[in-house]
Amino acid sequence: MWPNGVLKLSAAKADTSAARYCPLFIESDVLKLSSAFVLRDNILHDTILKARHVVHGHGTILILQLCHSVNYRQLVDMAASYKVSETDMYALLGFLNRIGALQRIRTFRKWPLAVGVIVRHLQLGTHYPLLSFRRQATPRAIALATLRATTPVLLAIGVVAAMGWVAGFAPLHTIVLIALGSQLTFLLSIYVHEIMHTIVLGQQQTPINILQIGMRLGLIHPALAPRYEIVSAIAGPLVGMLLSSGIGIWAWTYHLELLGCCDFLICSLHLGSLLPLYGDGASLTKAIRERKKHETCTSDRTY
Amino acid sequence: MQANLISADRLADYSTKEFGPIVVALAFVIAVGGMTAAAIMLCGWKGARSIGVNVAERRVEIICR
Repeated sequence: MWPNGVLKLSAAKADTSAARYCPLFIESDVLKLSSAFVLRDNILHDTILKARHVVHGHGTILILQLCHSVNYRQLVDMAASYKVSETDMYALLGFLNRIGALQRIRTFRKWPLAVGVIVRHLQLGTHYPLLSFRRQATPRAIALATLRATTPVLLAIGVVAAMGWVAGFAPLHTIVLIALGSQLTFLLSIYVHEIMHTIVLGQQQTPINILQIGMRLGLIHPALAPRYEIVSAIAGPLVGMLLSSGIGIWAWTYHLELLGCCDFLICSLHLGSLLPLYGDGASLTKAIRERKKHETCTSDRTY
Repeated sequence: MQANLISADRLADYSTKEFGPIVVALAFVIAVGGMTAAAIMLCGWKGARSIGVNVAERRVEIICR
């Protein structure tokens, strides 16, 4: 056991694929299962996605504890008393984190300890993933998730702006204006992108959750008919493009050409998300294919 | 995903669609940061007047003060 109530790092943590999604927990952390999940008859039901994850062995007891909120130390002790290996426990927690089922309550004064442990273990070559964030897709939750996901980009813009000032590219007030303008445009465009997805999906009376893990951000919802998926996949990037290009045009008319260029670049990011390689573009392509298949089946039946 | 205490529902889709644009944005900012760092190293305390990318000749041009 390490001092200050930090559980000893186990080399077994990295063994299974799900265990690598397990974030750092300290003894005093309180863990809870998200309200979007229900454990019934050894099956963990994701009530939003209508998914059924089968729970094996003592996993049921551990998840039952999480349903009622449990201190991390107590969970570890319970796992040990049932002879559940550390690897299996980390794998379970990692899986729950990956699907956004895990919530953590940590007091403010314990944060410096946790950060210290993360930094120390990083020097030993162990990297902890961040805790996922999954909530009902309200505007406030979407704003929080968007801010969390885009924090690395916003910080990077700040650092590069500082470097640009040191390099002497432009006066300080110009660099501050461009940096803040780009950050705001980027954040707002991703936010309205998600909000538009939510609005389109919400018209189908579908329950929606927002899921954020690190820089990954997306909406969790049950599968819809292809035509609604098509509309949703197009609406988000379209609104993001309109907002960023609108701000870009406004900046250009006020002779802020560099800010305008940054905004048009952000616009192209949203356009790029419609490429069939990933994200909304992949969803769009898949939905179009399904719609064509459905139409082909329907026309075959009429013949 | 393997976890001995729980088996994932294979049909469940937890993919996060906005990963691409955010990562591409970060990559672009890091690229600009790299060019800025190069400008600082090359131009020193005098600073740089401008930095540009010459796509035809595939090079970055840094003009110092």
